[in-house]
Amino acid sequence: MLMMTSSKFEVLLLDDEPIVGKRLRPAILKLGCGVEVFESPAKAIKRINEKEFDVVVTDIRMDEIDGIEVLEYVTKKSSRTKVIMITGYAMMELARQAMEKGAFDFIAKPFKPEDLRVVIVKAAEALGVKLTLSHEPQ
Amino acid sequence: MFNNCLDKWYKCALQRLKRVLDAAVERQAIRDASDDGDSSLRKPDRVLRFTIKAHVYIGFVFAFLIAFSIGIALVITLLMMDRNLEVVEISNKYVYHILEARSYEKDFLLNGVGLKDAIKNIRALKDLFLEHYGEIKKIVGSNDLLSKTDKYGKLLETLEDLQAVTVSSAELSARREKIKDELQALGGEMVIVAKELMRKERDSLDKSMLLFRVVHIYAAVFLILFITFILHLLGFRVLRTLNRFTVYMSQISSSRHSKFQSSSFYRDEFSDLSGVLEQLVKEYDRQQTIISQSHKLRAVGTLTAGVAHELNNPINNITLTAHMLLEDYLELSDDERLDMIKDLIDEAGRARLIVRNLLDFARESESIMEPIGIGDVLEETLKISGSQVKLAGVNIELKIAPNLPRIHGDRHQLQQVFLNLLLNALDVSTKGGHLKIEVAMADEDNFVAVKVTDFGQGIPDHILHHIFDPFFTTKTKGKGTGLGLSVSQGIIAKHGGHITVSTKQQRGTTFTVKLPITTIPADFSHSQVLLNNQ
Repeated sequence: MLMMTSSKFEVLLLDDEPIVGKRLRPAILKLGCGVEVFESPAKAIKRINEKEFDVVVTDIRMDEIDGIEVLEYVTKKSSRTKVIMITGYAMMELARQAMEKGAFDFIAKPFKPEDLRVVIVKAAEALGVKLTLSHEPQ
Repeated sequence: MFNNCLDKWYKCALQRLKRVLDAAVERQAIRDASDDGDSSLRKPDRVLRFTIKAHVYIGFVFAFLIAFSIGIALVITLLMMDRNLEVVEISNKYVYHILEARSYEKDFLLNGVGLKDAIKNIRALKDLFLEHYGEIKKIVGSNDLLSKTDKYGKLLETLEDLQAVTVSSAELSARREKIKDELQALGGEMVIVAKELMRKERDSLDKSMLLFRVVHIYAAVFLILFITFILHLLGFRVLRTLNRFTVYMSQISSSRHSKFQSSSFYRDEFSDLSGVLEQLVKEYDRQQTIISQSHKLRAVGTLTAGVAHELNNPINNITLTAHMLLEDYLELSDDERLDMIKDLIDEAGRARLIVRNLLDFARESESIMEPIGIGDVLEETLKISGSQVKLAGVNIELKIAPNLPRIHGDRHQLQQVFLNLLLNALDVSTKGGHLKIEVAMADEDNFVAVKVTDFGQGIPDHILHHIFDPFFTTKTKGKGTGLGLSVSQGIIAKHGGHITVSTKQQRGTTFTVKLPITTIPADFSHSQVLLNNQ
C-alpha cells in the first residue's frame, strides 16, 4: 500500500439510512483507509470543518441539508477532497448538477459495495494514492 | 286407431308446451343477465302498456260517444215533442169539427137548417180520423170514438133522409125526436171524449217538453263533468309523472344514485323516457367511473416517481447487506449474520409496504360506503404520498381534532380526493415550505371539515371560476390532466358534501372539504341529511 500523505487515507460517508453506513463501513475499511460514518448532514459538516478528508461520499437526498449543499461546502473548504455522490435512480438531473458543481463521480442506488470501492479507488488514484483491496479485516 | 291418434296428438302438445317453456326460461335468463343485480327492483316484464296517446284517444272516444248519445237523446225528445205537437193539432182539429158539427146540429134542431154542414163536418172528422187512426187510437185506447163518430154520422144521415121525406107523420116525428135525443146524447159524449183527448195530448206535450229541458240540462252538466273528469285524470297522470321526473332529476344532479319510480301498473311514454334516462345515467356513471379511475392512475403515475425513489433506499440496503453477507460470510460471527439477515427481512418488508400502499390505492375497487374515521383516511393518504412529500421537501402539519364523529363514505375514493388536494398543494409549495391539514367539526351542523392549506401564490380571480372544470389545468403538459378537482368534486358530491376554496394572492389557498357525519342508523340518517340539504 503506497501512502502519499503522512496520515492515513480518510473517507467520510454520509447517508441518512443507517444501514448504508453500517454495511459500507467494513467494505471501505477493507481498502485500508480510515472511515467515518454519519447519518446527520449537520454532524458530518461539523466533522468536515474539523478534519480534511480525502474522499467524502454523500447521499444527495436527505431531510435537513441535501447532498448538493454538502458538496458545495466541501469544495469550498478543501478543493482537493473528492466528493462522490450517491443518487437515486430517478435523479439523473441532480447527478448532472452535482458533476457540474465539481463532484468527482456519482453512483446510483441501488449499488453493490464493490461499486463504491471501485469509485473510491479511482478517486484515490486521482489523488495519487493507490488503494488495494485487502482481504484482511482491520 | 282413435286411441293411437289421440296419443300422438297428446305427445305433440306436450312437445309444444316444452318448447314454449324453454323459450320463456331462456328469455328470463337473458333478462337476468342483462340487468346487473337489480332484477329484484325490476317490475315483471309483462306490465300492461297504457300510453298517454291511448289515454287521450280513449278519453276522446268516450267523450265523443257520450256527446253523440246526448245528441241522439235530444233528437229523440225533439221528435217526441214534434209528434205530440202534431197530435195536439189533430185533436184540436177533431174538437173543432165536433164542435162545428154540434153547432150545426143545434142550428138544425132549432131552425131546421145546417144539417148538410154538420154532415160535412162529420165526414171531415171521419177522414181525419181515418188519416190519423194510429195516433188517435193510441191515445184514446179503443175504437169507441170512431164507432161513436160513425154512429153520429149515420144518425145525421138518417135525419137528412127523414128531412127529405116531406110527408109528416106522427110516427116519423116521433122517430125524428128519438134521433134528435140520441144525437144530442152522442154529441155530448163525443165532445167530452174529444176534450179529454185534447187534455191528454196537452199533458203529454207538456211532459215531453219538460223531458226535453231536463235531458238538455242533465246532458250538458254530465258532459262537462265527464270531460273535466277525463282531463283531470290525464292531467293528474302527466303532472304526477312530471313531478316524479323533477325529483329524479334533482337527485341525479346532486350526483346521488337513485332509481326512477314509474307507475307499477302500466307502461307508457314516460316509462320509455325513464328507461332512456336510466340508461343515460348509467352510461354517465360508467364514464364518470372511467374518468375517475383514469385520473387515479394518473395520480399513481405522479406518485410512482416518488415511490421509485423511495424504493431505492430499502433496495439499496438489501443490496449492500446481501453483498456484505456474501463477501464476509466466513469472517462474520453468528450474531452479525443474524443481524444482517434481520436487516434484509426488515428492508424487504419496508419495500413491500411502499408498494402495497400504492397498489391499494391504484386498485380499481367498487365503491364501498361504510362508516369511517376521517382522520384515518388522511393519515393513510399521507402515508401513500409520503415519498412524494419527502421529494418535494415540504413539511406537513397535520392537525386532527379529537373525538370526531365518523362519516359515511368510501375510503379509497376519499383518499383519492385528499391525495389530489395534497399533490396540488405540494405543486405550489416551494422546497422547504410547509402545508397545513386540519380536520375538525365544520361550522355547519352535522358536517366535518378537512382544510388543506398551502402557502403558495394563491389562485388568480380569472382562474378561480374554472378550477373545478374538467380538463382545466394550469400545470404544464404531461404533468396534469385537469381532472383532479373535477373528479374530487364529483366524489365529494356523491358523499353528500362539498368542496369550497378560498384563496389570497401571494398568501396561499385553502381547500375545504365538508362531509356529512353519520349517525345511527347510518343509511337512513345519511339520506335524510341529504334530503334536507336539497
